Amino acid sequence: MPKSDEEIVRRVREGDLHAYGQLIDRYQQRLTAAARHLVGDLETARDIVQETFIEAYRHLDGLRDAARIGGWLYGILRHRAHAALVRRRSTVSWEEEGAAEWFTAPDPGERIDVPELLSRLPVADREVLAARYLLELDYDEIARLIGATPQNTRVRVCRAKERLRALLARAEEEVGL
Amino acid sequence: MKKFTPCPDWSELLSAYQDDALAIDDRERVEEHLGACAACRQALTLLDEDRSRLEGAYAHATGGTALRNRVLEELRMENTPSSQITLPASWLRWLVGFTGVTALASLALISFLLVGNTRTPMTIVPVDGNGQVVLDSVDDSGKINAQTGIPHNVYNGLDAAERSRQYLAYDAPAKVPAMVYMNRRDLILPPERVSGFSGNLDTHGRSPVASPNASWEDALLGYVGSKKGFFHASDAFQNNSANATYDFRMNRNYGIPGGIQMAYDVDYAFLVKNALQGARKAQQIVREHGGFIIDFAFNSDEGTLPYASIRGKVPADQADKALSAIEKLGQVRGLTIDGEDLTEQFKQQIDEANKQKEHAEKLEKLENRSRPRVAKNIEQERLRAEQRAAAAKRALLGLQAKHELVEFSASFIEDKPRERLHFGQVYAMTVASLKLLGLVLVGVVLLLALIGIIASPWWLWKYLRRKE
Repeated sequence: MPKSDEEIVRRVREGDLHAYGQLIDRYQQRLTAAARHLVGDLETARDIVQETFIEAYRHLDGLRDAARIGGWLYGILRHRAHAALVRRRSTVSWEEEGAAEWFTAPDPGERIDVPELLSRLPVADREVLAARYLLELDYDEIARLIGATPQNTRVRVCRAKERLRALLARAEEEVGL
Repeated sequence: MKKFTPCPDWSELLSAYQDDALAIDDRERVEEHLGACAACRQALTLLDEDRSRLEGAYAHATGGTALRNRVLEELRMENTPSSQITLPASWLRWLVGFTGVTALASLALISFLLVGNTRTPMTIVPVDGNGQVVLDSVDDSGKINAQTGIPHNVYNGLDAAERSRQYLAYDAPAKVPAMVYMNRRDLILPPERVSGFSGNLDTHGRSPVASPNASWEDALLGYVGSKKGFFHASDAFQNNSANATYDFRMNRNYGIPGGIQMAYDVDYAFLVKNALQGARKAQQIVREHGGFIIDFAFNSDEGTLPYASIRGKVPADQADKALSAIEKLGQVRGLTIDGEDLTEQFKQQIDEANKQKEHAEKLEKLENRSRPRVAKNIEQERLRAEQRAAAAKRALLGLQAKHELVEFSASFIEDKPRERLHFGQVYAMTVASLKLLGLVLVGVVLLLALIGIIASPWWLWKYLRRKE
């Protein structure tokens, strides 16, 4: 029977490392997706997620509301991703990373390398899109993470979606969809 | 190309509707609008497609079991066997901090106890084999100056006049009295007695350098607190004064030719209700009459009769008054002068003196009521009676005109052991309790320090690992 996040966190705090494995299983896919979305490549994303889980375990005492551990984990991941982006800024261009595969994919629908495309979005947009679509955080949690009001967060999420749509529309146009 | 073109002002509502983040009213409004607006329905569909596309793009982005295993392995390495039974890091930090604070507090307490121990309120002054007060040199390494009761560094910063004032004003016989009173006796030396050694005295007692302007008082004060200084003083007397045969080691007699002559060894024993109180009153009387105390002792051990004793000197011309006042402090049980038991004679003399005194008082009353001529005769008779009373005492003391000081001792004894706790016992019990508390604290600190020593490396290692 699946346990709640609160129950798992309580057991981890009591020293049950196995329970932490359950927590990792529960969140690692979403966090890896979000990390990939933020930094662009999978290996870096996996490293970031690994660091996130280790750091989270060390600072689990700092988690006040165990029911919101998803947002808390994403907050740690977000900082790690920022650090990774700063480290590799300007070292690898978008063209070098994935443009070739995008334009040579056999199926038109698959010609669009969405992760690569999304890397064109501003980091702020990627953050809120990952929080909303991948982590399924509500507006209040996103607002706390980005340091904005819920109302402002609603606007920022909407703008991010609009820019995503525009980006995808342009990509579809380019590949002839 | 599928552009996002909802109705104006509806994009935010549609976005929030998609995220299920609208209040009921707004949601119903959006649903009503969607039912009537194809463009907005299309826009919402596009939003859902984009979401699906984004989610699908990362469907394979997973760390898998490998990621979980790596994380857990890393955490297991951190959780070494010793750490399985360790307490949270915050607890350890408190422990280390508490250990430090407790150690400091204990050190302060122990220091207080040790220092406090050296300054007990009752001190029996050390005497040498001849019964003389030991001339102990005074430490000038930042300790309290025995002659003034103020720190040396402060004392040394004072000018000669202020030193003299501090010196003379100091009134703490129970603390470190020996040097104080040895030197107060010196001060009784009248200036003319020592006027012969003008010059060549070190007023600060550190080295015998020339100091032509030193006064006799400065000179004596200058040697306060230094045994070496005393000997220098002696040398100075010998070298610079025709009369200087002054020897502080032979201080029963000042040894100055033609100098002070002293009657000594007047030894009283009193039975009193409160020994300590009696001795203190005697001490006060001695001082009021220009004398000084050489030593002061008090003992009230359990099972013994409480006992206090003082020894001092009073100027011979004040001896009658001073000793008479002392004699009233209790029931005289014994009087020895120069080793001869004169208790009975003393009682007779006391009776005689009292009789003469009563006679003088009666005459005084009669004198007040009499006519002037008669009163004059009565006054003369009264004065003669008083003189006879004084002469009786002086005869008893063996005082002669040449005597200038009388050395005396007085013992005050209570007739039964005390049943109540007195100050000394309370003080001793308090000190003992504090010592016990200190020992317990030291034990606790050592235990905590041991725990800290054992746990700190682990804590440091963990901290460093986290920093990495």
